[in-house]
Amino acid sequence: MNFIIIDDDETNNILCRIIIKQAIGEADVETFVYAREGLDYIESHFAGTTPGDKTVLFLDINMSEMDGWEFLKQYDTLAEDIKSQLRLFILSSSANENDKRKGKENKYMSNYIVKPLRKEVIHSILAAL
Amino acid sequence: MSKSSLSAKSAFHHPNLQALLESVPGQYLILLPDFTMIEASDAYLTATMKHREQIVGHNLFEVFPDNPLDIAARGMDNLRVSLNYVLKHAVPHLMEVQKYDMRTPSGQVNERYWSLYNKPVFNNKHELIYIIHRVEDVTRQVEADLRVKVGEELISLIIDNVKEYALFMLDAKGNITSWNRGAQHINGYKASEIIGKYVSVFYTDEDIHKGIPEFNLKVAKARGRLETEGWRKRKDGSEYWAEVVLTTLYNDDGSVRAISKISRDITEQNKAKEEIKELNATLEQRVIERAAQLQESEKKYHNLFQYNPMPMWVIDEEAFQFLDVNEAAVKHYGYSRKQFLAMSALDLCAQDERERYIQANRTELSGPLNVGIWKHFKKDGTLIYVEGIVHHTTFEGKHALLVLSNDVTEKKIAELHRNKITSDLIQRNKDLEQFAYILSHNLRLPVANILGFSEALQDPALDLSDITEIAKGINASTQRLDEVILDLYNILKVRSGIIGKTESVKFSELVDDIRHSLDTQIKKDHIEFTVDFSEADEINTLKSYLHSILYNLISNSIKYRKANDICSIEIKTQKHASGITLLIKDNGIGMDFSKIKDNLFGLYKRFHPGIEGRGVGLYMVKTQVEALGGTINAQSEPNIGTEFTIDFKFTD
Repeated sequence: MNFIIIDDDETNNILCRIIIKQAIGEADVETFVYAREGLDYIESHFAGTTPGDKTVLFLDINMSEMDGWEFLKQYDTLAEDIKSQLRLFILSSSANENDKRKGKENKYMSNYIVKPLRKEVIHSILAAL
Repeated sequence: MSKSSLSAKSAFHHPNLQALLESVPGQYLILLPDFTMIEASDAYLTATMKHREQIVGHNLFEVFPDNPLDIAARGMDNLRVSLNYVLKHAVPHLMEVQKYDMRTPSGQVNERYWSLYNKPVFNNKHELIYIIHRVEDVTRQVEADLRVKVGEELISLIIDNVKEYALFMLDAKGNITSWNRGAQHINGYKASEIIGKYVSVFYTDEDIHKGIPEFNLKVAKARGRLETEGWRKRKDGSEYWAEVVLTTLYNDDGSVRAISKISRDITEQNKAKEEIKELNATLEQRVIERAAQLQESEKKYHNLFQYNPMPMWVIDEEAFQFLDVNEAAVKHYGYSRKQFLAMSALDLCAQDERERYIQANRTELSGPLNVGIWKHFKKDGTLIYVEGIVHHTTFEGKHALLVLSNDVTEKKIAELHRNKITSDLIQRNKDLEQFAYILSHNLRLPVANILGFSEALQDPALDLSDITEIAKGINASTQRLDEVILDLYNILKVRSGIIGKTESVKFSELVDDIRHSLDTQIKKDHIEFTVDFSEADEINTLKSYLHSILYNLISNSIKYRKANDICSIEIKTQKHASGITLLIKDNGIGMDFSKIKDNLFGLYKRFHPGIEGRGVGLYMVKTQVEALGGTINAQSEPNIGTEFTIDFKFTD
């Protein structure tokens, strides 16, 4: 199972690795504190590969330099065969209803998850894949 | 030459006779019974324009043929008849005036009239031997008579035909002796009805009663002429206004021969004249009334100005010098009238509003113009807010401005207060929204992490390395939580208002302090400073805030310097009418403003992920600048540098 985590809070990324490990055991987890780097990774890693298992992407919104919304604008320009291999989730500390609504309105967003990430959330995501 | 003429000549030739004929003034011609001319007087020769040789010995009718140009001329035929009459009856004959034209030696024909007298001369035997022909040139008399005749005819024609003037004669007693058509036209009488009547027939009963007709005649006779106007009566009893001229004609002995009277009906002209007179009188009355009204309105205006409860003044258009002030202005502003008149309206204005005042009063509008609210100072220095109403007027013949100065200080203060409350409320609301955002993101983030880690701790399959990592995560998150709480406390402290006293602070001293505290890094990284506080070094402010602002901006410039370039920081102040501007400029890595937009001064907004920072510094700077009543703006370009501009306003 593959996970990508894009969040400028290093502590959150460490926590996510631990929670994923506790939920499903060994998994392939890539973390990026810069959204730009995450985007570059996606573009190079998934290009030309045949769609296999879905990769789950947890995206933070409130980031410096490139925030979650800007990331989604750039993501929109990627090739369809790349995007078809990913399932996107917002992982935000904000429980604010406006943030939730805005996140859910985006066509690439499967769901809006309020931090902290929990084992049960990972189980339900995997069950829905 | 005939035989008879020769004998006659010899018989007549007598020197004494010829001498006599040459010297007599009249024109004489001496003829033989056969009409041969034997002698002529010099006067005859002159009048007929002939030489003696052309006359003597020649036949009268051969020398003087009739004037061929005069078709009606029968002069020579008449002469022949007369001469024959004298020969036949042996008596003298006086001919009627004859027209006989003379030919000049140059051939020109002159019209002439002649009086002719032929007288027979007898010898002792009573035989007719000569005829003396006497000629008198009466051309002048004839022509003069003719002119007189034509003139008289013309005058009588004019008199008869003039309709607008009554022209008639009175005898010395005032009785009418002649009457023309105009007189009939004007007075209505025919000549037959009026001739012989006394002149008073034209006068009104009232004038007759007063003896006016007699008086006028008397004056005309005494002075020779009388011009008068008055009411006259027509035959039908109607009256008209007559212009009358009486002229007296005298006999040689000075007695009155007659009086001519010329009169004219000028009722219409007189009516028009009367109307004009009446109009003039009305107009004069109106002018007097209007002048009185103006005087009254001027008095009212003066009272309205002088006793108006609002301060009013008249100022000139150029320098706004006071020309007049009312009592309320003196009372309200504290300046005496004399002091006012030595001042300009600009002297009342706040320094920073004078330019605007000049522009606002340079209006072309003639009607009252509200020029807005102005800050004025009373003599004792009290600030008041006044609403100015400007009206164009004239003062002592020159253009001027009438200004009404309505003190709206209370209203203005209430309005300022209200505006402050409103803007404070808006700010509070914004702050609350921002606080909610900070709570949900920045404060909740470490809390969410702690929650996550503590849940992870409950997993039964934890190994030691997991526990160590979780413990680190909890620690980092707790520290982060503490930082955020501390930031929020500091921010709320600044926002709650200025704590402490403002004092005179020198920019140069603050910058020196900061450079001293950062000395190690400045030396290590060769940071260059260019400082210029020559325009303004001192400012009245809260020292700790200004220190914090300068410290944050200077350390930012050092933090975001270019790695491969010498860092240079320029700090200077500029003085304006309204305040001081502080500029801090660096040649650092800069920022792309198109991405940053209005987030530069936002709390926990960070733009350089590679460089340590929490996103609090610039938020703090902005908060402190605003707490000091200033504004901050920034300009930046990637790889060029960043410049911050802070405007501090002078406080009144």
